[in-house]
This record gives sequence, structure tokens and C-alpha cells, in this order.
Amino acid sequence: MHYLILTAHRIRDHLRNHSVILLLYLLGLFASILFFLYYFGNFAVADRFANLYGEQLRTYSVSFPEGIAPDAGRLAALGAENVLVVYHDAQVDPERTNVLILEEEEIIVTDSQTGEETVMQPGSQYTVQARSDDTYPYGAKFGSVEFPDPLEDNCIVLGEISLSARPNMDVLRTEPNPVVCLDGVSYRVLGVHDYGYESCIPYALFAANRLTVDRLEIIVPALLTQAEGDTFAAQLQEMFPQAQVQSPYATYSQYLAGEEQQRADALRMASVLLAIAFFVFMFLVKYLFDLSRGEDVVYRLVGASRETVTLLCPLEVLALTLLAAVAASVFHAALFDVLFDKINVYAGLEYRLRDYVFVAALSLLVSAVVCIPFLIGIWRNSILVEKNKYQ
Amino acid sequence: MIKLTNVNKFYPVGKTNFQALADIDLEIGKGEFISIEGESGAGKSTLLHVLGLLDTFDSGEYWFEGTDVRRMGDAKASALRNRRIGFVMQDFALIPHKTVLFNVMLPLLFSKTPLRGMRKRALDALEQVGIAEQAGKRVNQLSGGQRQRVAIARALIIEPALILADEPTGALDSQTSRQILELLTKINAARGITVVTVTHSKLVSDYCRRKIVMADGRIVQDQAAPASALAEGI
Amino acid sequence: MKRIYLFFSSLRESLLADLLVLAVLTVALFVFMDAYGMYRYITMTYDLTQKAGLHARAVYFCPSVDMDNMETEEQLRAIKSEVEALPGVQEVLIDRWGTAACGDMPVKVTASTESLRRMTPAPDRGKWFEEGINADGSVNVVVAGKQFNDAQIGDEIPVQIGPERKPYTLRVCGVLSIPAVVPSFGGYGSQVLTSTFFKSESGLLIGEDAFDTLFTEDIERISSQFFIDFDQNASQETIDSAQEALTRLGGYQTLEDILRDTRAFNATTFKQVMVRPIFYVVIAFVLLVSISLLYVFKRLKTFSVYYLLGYSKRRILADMAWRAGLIALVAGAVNFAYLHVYSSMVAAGKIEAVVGACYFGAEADGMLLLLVGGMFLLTMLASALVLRGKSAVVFLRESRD
Repeated sequence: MHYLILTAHRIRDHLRNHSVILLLYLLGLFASILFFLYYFGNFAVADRFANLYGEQLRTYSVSFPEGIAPDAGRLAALGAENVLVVYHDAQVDPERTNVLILEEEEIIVTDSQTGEETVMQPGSQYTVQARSDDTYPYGAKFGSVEFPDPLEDNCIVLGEISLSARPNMDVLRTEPNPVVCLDGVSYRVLGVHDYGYESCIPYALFAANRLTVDRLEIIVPALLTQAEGDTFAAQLQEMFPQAQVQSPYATYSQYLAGEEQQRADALRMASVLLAIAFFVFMFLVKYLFDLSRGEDVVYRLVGASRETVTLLCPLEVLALTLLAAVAASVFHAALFDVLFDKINVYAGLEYRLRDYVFVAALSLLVSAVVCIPFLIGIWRNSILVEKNKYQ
Repeated sequence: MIKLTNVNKFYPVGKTNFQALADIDLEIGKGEFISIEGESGAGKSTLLHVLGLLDTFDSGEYWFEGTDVRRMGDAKASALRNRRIGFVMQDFALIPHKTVLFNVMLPLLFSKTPLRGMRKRALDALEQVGIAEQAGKRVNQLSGGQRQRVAIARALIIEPALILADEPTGALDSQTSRQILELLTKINAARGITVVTVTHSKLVSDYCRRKIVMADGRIVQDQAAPASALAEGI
Repeated sequence: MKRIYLFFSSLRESLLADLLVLAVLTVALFVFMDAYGMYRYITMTYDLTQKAGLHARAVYFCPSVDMDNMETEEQLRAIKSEVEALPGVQEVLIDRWGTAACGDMPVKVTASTESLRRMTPAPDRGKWFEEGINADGSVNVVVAGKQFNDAQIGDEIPVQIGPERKPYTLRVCGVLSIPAVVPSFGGYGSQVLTSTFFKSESGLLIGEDAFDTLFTEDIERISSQFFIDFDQNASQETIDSAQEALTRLGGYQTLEDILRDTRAFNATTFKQVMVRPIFYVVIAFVLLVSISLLYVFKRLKTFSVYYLLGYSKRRILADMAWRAGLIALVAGAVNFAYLHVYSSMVAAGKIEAVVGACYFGAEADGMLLLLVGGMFLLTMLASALVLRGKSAVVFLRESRD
């Protein structure tokens, strides 16, 4: 059975005799598949959480029950390729601090992500952090948040809690040399940042002042898969046997599961939209089917079975869909840098060959399904009825 | 070769059933040249469609070359039609915008015949009907007589047992009609292909050696034509 | 009459296809306009900030005060005075508001200065007040938002203000319909966008002098952030010095940074909100053209007969124009109606849960008209191109083939 030849003949005939309709159909398929490619890449595949919260997903945290010395060896090894954020719970010396006036009451700090509450006692610990790249995503709520370069003395940028718990903002404004004393070391206050509770000091000072590391965050340069992340977490556990190591996949497991569900929903939605688009353009190809009915009668006369004649129609549709899918994929790939990358929701989205193949395959499947209602009419007709109608 | 026994066919017309064929008993042998005649509505075309497996019947038996056709599904009937039955219709039943060669090859495209050799067989068939030089032309560029020759070539390419012709000269002038009839007669005589033709035309009837007359869905007359009634030149 | 009959009888032949195109086009346009409305709601604050005519180096300032303190407002006023005294500072824009009783309902009454009005959209009905208080003692007011969406110009709103519930009459001179976006300096963060200092509110806007008459300082509230505008003639050094002084009073972000960050945010928002609807409209447009041209081909035989019988080609084109135009018109009209009943339906609580916050200004009408008109014209162009050069004989021949 020479289906391919007959299908090719049909398409060639339509191109020759009804080119406008055929080209409009191809254009409709092309536009629909192009849209599906965009939707697929941006919503069914793209990892929204990783794109929006990339750093969080690259951050592995290590908590030390006893705190560790700023061990140059291990930290230096980790810091060679990764960004380190070290935390220290310091003791405030109120006698040598002229801007932090400690309250009598407890201060309760609630972690916005975990909901965990921490109670800070008067004169108790005061958390400082330092990043190995000295880059912080905050703005200035008061004063300056830029560390001087070169560093000349111990300096600190206070976190917001120091303000909200303080009754005297005037002190910070009027005091010419604002100082806080932590663990016996005095730090000049540069200003107050607007991004969270911890105060920040230059990384060099953290090591120089030999502050113990009570908590460590390792921000890897590129996103690791879950398996790779688990391996890395295991390596950290081996490096710090007494510590509690947490992978971001564990921390954000709920968000990630939700994202997975959303991507699946997005793919379903995209498929439905594609089916609707294909369905409405089927009116064009139905017209071409009707034009071929006379030909179908001849085919039946010379011995083509009903199945054969009916099958030619979806074959035609599938061939045209494949053509449109290939054209859309080539168009998308060729203009990706100059156009499509600029309209992607997330920067750095990549389309691989298998994505284009998947979209083409799904388009073929949707086309085949959408064809079915139009074939029922062809299947049901008898040779004689068609003969009388179309000849 | 063909045997119909007590074949009946009904068509629903509104709330009643119209009997298109009534108690048809018919035997057709190999190499016969038969005309089926009668008034409009006599059931001639219906009988032709049943013979050509284009339509089914409600009761009776139909044996084609020893095969019981009645129990055949569409696929088997189509395959049989593809291999053993050719059609020559009044409106030619060709695809007008395709080439002559394509139209003639068409039955082979629906069979298991390999691609290689199809073209040659088609050209041979066209040679037999005398229009091989038109192979590359589109059908709608040909005259009526040439189109009918193409239809005959298409019927011949499968080496059929039976050619069914429904008013084969209905759209042709008398001279062309004679040419077509002579061609059919030659094929019938030389290759032993049975030809059954439905006709209103005396000219066609005169070429046939057996006449079947129908009325009200029944065969009312079935006789061999006298030798003198055959057309000249045969 | 006969042509109308011919037209409608031809419509019946392709009713299903036409209804399908109408449905697809209407939905595509609705999704697009809704997304456009959402996008404009997000971006309008950028436009309002730009048209406010602020100095290029203006800053959005967050004073450092203890927010838990009972004396916060006093501190804020003190800082405001200090800032106003800085050389180079032209004006400190703040929110001033109070609460009035309107029947049983409390309503927010805001002081609207000329500078603030430059950052506020023009009323959708009526206009801004020239005088704050009329000769008869009534106070001119521009009403805003859901609570007052159906107010009419000239309506009188009786209110009571203060612990003594002193009565006043407010006379409506303008209405800001939903979404009623007005400047509001209540927010701050590590990244400030123009949307940070705007808010969609329901309330009453009166002149500054009227506000001073109705509200004393003890019942007045002010915003915890300020917008500081500099004198256009101030030197760069003066402004540098003023900004340096501000760092001792709190934190700020420059207008330049805010606008830059907002542009980046708006670009991302465009991609998130608008790209898909644009695709829908393109596909709907291709469908409209396709079905219109299909109509031409399907009726070739009919047109050939019409042509033979004296129907001119121009009439055939007009017939097609009516058909495509009717579809585009109905789809456009449905969406036009949506744009204009949106605020009433939100005010009545009917659609807020279904669609996001949208802003449909005059440009939304223009956008819709452009889309519908453009699609219609391009469809007609395509149809005319197909019919071009076809004589009656060609019609007949093609209809036979």
C-alpha cells in the first residue's frame, strides 16, 4: 500500500490548486506550535523557583552545636569555589556599646521561613554574619552600608532588629562615634541595612577577630540536581561530623513539589490550548478533504477499502503538522537569540533538541486526536452516496 | 464465473421500503458481453453496483469466481474489486487534475504491487487502448473519447475478470461511441474478459451478445442476441 | 432589504464556523485586554511618577524612627522640618490623612497638594478642585475607589470629623474610578519601585487648606516615608550635601534608581503578562483571515452565478466585508463593554475574584480599536487580493474545478 505516495500527491494537488487555503492552514499550525514552544519552555519546563530564588536553592547550611574555630583549612577549601556565609552569635558588652541600649524584656525573633522563634535575652547573643564575597543584597536604612576599602578598622553594618528593639533612634543619629562591642571587640557602626536581622561585618574581620563559626552557609556557583546536592551534603557531613547539614532540596521540598505539580499542569494546559487551536484550523483542512471526496470515490471504485480512504486524511494532516512543527522549530531556534530569548519570562532558558522533538511529537499526537471527529463523516459515507454527490 | 441466486435489495424511502431488485437469478460466464437494459428505475444500475461489490443486497447469494461475496466485509470486497473488477463509467470516474499515467496506475497503488514496474504496466495498458502518447497529460486536457480510453486502460491494468460499464458512451458522440465499443469488444474477444454494460443506447446493445432486460427490479428477459443483430465490423 | 436577505441567508450556510471564529476572537481579545489592563495597572505608576515633573535627583526617603514608639509621628514631623530646612530642598511630599465618619462608615480623607495631584491620574469624571472650600462653606472633594464609584458630580456627602463629630458637607467635583491609584508613601524596602509609593484606595481627596481647616494635628496622621524634591536650580554640590545629610536621618533611594529598577521590573512583567495574550490574538487573527478566505473559496460557484447575473465584484467584496466586519464588530463590542463596565462590576464585587486588578484608561479603548480595526482591514485586504483579477469566466472555471 503506497500511502506515502498518495499522501504526497494529495498535498501537492492542494498546493497547486488550493494554495491559499493550504498555506493558511500551515500558517495557523505554525503560529500555534510556535506559541506552544514558548509556553512549553517558559511554564512546563522552566524551573520557576530556581530562576527566582536561585541563590536559595544553591545554599547548603551547616549548623554547629558548639561552634567551630574559623579553621582556615576546611573553610578555605570550601571557599575556593563557593561563596561562604559565616554566622557568629556574639555577646554584647553594654558598657562599651553606645548605640545599642538593651531592653529589660526579652526580644522574640521569628524566622519568617520556618516560623521558629528565638528568644534574645538582655545582654545576650547578637548575630553577626560575613560573606566571603562581601556582597549583600541590601540597601541603606540609615547611614552607609558600604565597607571601606581598604579596611582600616573594625566596622559593622547593623541589622534592623537593632532599631526596632531600640527606643532611642536619636542615639544613632546624634552619637558622633557609634560603636558596638561584641565579644570584647569594638566595631564602628557605619549604618543600618534594611534586609533582615543579622548585622554584617567584612569577611576579613571575621577571620581576623577569630570569631567562632556557629552556622555556615555554602552557596555553590551552579545549581546542583537533587542527587548531586545529596552527594554534596554527604561530603559536608563527612567534613563536619558533629554538625547538622541541610540541603536546600530538603529545606524547600514543599515548594519544589508544588512547582513540579505546576509544571505538569502547565503542560496539560498548553496541550489543551494547542488542541483548541488545531481544532479551529481543521475547518480549513476539512474544506480540502471535501474537495478530495470526488477523488475518494475513484479510489473506492478501483478497490481502495474504506479504511484506506479514511486513513489518507489523517496522514495528510500529520504530514502538514510535521512540516509546520519543523518550520516552527527551525524558526524558533534561528531567531532565539534575537527575539525569543528576549520575550522569555526567565533569562537563560535553553531549548535542547529533545525539547523540539517533544513538541513536534506532541503536536502530531494532538493533530491525530483532533482529526477524529472529521474522519467519522468520511468513514460513514457509502461509495454510492459519495459518487452521486461528488461526480 | 458469476452466479446470483434469488437476490433481493430494498431501499428505505420515507416510511416504506422500495424494492430495487427482486428475486434476481443470474449466471454470467467467462468472456460474455452482456447488456442490461430497461426503463429508468428498472434496477439496472443497482444490479451493476451489486455485481461490482459497490453495494450490498438484502437476501440471496452472490458467488464470484467461486467465492461467496455476501459474507465479505468492506476490506475483502474492496480487495476483490481492486484485483478482479474494472469500471468504465459515463462520467469516466477519473481524477481530472491528475495525469493520465497516474489515473491508470491508481489501482496498483492500492494493491501490493511493488513500485518498480508500475509505470511500465500503465504505459502498456495505455498502449493497448491507443493513447500511450497522452500519458503525461492531465485528464482534463483530453477529449471525451480519450478520457474513456483512459478509464478502459485503468480497468485493464489489473487484468480483470470483469469489466462493468455504466452507460460508457453516454457522454460521447456516435463516432467516438463506436470506437469505444469496438475497443471493448476487442478486449472481450481477445482476452476473454467478461463485459457487462448498462445502457439505454441501441448502438451499445447491438454490440452485446446477450441482452438482459429489467423492469421493476426483475429480469424480464434474458436472451442471446441473434447473430444478425451484432454490429458490423466485429 | 434583498441584500440583507442575501447576506443573512449566506450567513446560515457557515454559521458554525462563524460562531467558532467569533468565540475564539472574543475570548482572545478579552484575554489580551485583561492582560493589558493588568499590565497598565502595574506600569501606570511609572507613568505617573514620570509626569510628576520631579527633579532628576529627587529621592524617596525613609526616616529612621522607632515605629513602636508613641512619639513616632512627632519624630517624623521633626525630621520633616529638618529635611525641609536643608539647602536645595524644594518640597517634601508626604501623605496627610484623617478619618471621617460618613454615616456609619469610616472613610479616609486625604490632603491633596498640587504636587501630589501631579502624581495622581486625572479624575475619570469631573475635574480637580480649584478652590478647596466654597463660599457656602462646603468643601470640594474628589472621591476615589470602590466606595464612591457610582458618585455623581455635584453630590453632597455629609461627614463628621473629630471626637466632637463636627459636621461638614463635601461636594463632589470629580470621581476617580476603580482602580483609583493615588500616591501613598507608606511602603519602603531594599528595592523600591514606583509601585511602592502608590496605592489603590477608596476615600476622599480634598485641598490642603480645606484639610487644615477640617483636621487638627492631633487627629491627623502622616506617612512614614517622604518624597523629597529638589530645587531645579540647585547646584549638584548643594544636592550632594543635602543627600549626605539625609543619610544621618534615614535611608533613601534616588528617583533615577527607582525608575531604572521599575523599567526592568516592567519589562519582566510584560513578558509574564502580555506575551501569551499576544500569541492568542495572532492565532485568532490568522483564524479570522482563514475563515474569511475559506468563505470566498466555498462560495466561488455562488459568486460566479451572482457575477453572471449582474452582481458587481465591489458588491461581493462588500458582502465579505460585512461578514468579517460583523464578527470583528461583535467581538470588539463585547470587549468594549467589558472595559467600560469593569469598574462598576468591581465596585459591586462581581468580578474581583475572577480577574486581577486592571486599569483601563482611554488608551485601552484605543488599543482595542486598533486591534479590531487592524484585523478587519487586513482580512479585507487578503480577501481583496484573492478576488483581484478574477473575471466571471475565471470564477466559473475555478468553481467547476
